[in-house]
Amino acid sequence: MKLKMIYSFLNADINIIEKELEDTIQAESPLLHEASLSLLQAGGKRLRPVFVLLGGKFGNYDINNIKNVAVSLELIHMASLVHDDVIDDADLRRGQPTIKSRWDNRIAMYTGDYIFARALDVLSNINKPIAHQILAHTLVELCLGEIEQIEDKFQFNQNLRKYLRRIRRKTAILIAASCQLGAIAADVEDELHKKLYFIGYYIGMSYQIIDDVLDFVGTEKELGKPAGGDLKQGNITLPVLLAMETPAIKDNLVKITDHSTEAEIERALELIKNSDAIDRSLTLSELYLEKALKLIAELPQNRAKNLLRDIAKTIGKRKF
Amino acid sequence: MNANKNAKLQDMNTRLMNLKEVLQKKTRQPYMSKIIQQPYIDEDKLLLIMFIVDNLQIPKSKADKYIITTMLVQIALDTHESVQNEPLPLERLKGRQLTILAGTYYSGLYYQILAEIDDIFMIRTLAEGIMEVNEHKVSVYSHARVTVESLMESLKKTESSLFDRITHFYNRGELGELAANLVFINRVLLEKKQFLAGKPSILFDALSKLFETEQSVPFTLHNNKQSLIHICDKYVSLSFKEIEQSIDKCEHTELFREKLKWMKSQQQEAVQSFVEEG
Repeated sequence: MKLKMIYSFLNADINIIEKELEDTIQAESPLLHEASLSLLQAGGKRLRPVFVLLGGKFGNYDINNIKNVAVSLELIHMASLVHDDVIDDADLRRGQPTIKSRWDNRIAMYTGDYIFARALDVLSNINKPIAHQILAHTLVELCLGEIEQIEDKFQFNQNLRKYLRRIRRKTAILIAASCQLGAIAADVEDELHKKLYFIGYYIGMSYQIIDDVLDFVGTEKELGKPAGGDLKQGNITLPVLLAMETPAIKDNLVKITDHSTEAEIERALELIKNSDAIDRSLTLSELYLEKALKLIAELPQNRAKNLLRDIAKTIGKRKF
Repeated sequence: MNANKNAKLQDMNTRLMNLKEVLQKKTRQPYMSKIIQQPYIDEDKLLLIMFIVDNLQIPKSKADKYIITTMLVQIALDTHESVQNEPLPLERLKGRQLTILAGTYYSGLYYQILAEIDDIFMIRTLAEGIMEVNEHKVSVYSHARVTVESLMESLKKTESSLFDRITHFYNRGELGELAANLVFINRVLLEKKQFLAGKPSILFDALSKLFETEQSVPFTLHNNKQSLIHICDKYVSLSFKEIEQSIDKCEHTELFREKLKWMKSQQQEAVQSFVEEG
């Protein structure tokens, strides 16, 4: 089942958030507005808002309050995508031209900064210092994760621990914070919002591992961007690390640099795809999901609990 | 009296340098420092925010945090401003990538420091400032302004919105105006310097475009160089005048006045050399 179908019971509130996102990015400058809107209209899974809403369902759920958190986190995600496209020099995102390719790097930088500030502005409607402390810590970690990713490019001697720390910072903690901040905005008690943090964290780890696998096995149409991009850019993800445990494959992979030819990259991609690294990566993803499911089982019984469980299971089976 | 004034100037200078050192430490990240330069810290803006915070009589416990976080935002904006459009050779790509992340990292730090002291008001104030700055940056850069007046106003906002937001909250609009005029003069002088050196200038590009549209005939920059410079000088003089009218309403102006004197001499020098070079 598709993710969007699973959380259809949240549809009315998701629609409120979509509308709020559109209203929030109303810039005075027509160009800035158009650039922000194009990103918004390119779609996306709206995973972070969904996790915020679900977190909120464990407390005093008031959409007019919780929407501030949901909108803010989606905007932060959007802002980071705009800047990431400049970093990666990417022309396509979700099958649509990126802001940097439709306009240029400068417009992308201004748009990203504008959206980021909008996100903080919206969250400032939540008068709970702990919410800001959690988000601020998350943002700094997120950035350090990206810096680390650049530092580790083409570093084939890195270990699994380093990879896990990187995806924790890069993806998992924002999903974790989404669950937790939704709960905090709804006055959920400490123990429960901390549990929700870990549920989001484990789901996020699993999600990113699958993302890294899909980069090898997905098609350009499914991914909305060329497949194999991670290795081409020197990002050493889990399938690469696991494939390198086979000495013959390792010998080939360590020769990959930013000067490698398309043919050399293609050969490396084939080696990884034909190894057991893909299955073993999925097994690790499964382990994280199991951890999430175990914690979900401990949550108070309500519809959001069932939904969290279904989302976790669907993420484990997603194809793109 | 003079000894007193000198001692006060000395104190302010020491404080300025201490704050600069704090900013340098905050923005240092081991890997980034290996690949890219330490960020540019605009000392004039640092002096200005110090001056504003002192005039607003913000409690000491918050004053330095406000100065540091406003400057972190400024540094973040300046860092992202340095990202250019030109494609780069492979060996320089990493530098650009880290520059982008560095700017975001500094923004994150501003938020983190204010979140730690539970200052949601200042988080919002600076966020509003960032939004406004970027609104105007896009307008200036994309040549969206249709009059010289609105172009200059937008340029001023790109430099002053952070300070404006703070002073307006404290109902000290005149302080905001003073700050805005100072940073505006600095920016125009910088753009003029770039232009005269034959380097790209966002302001002069936008002005040329405006003239081209107004005249509906091909605009030759060479012939109209003098008129463009004249427009800029006019705005600079006006801003100096506005500063002089409002500075007496403020306190702690010692270092500020020194700075002003120096800026005026720079302006005079530029005019002189422009006249001499014809």
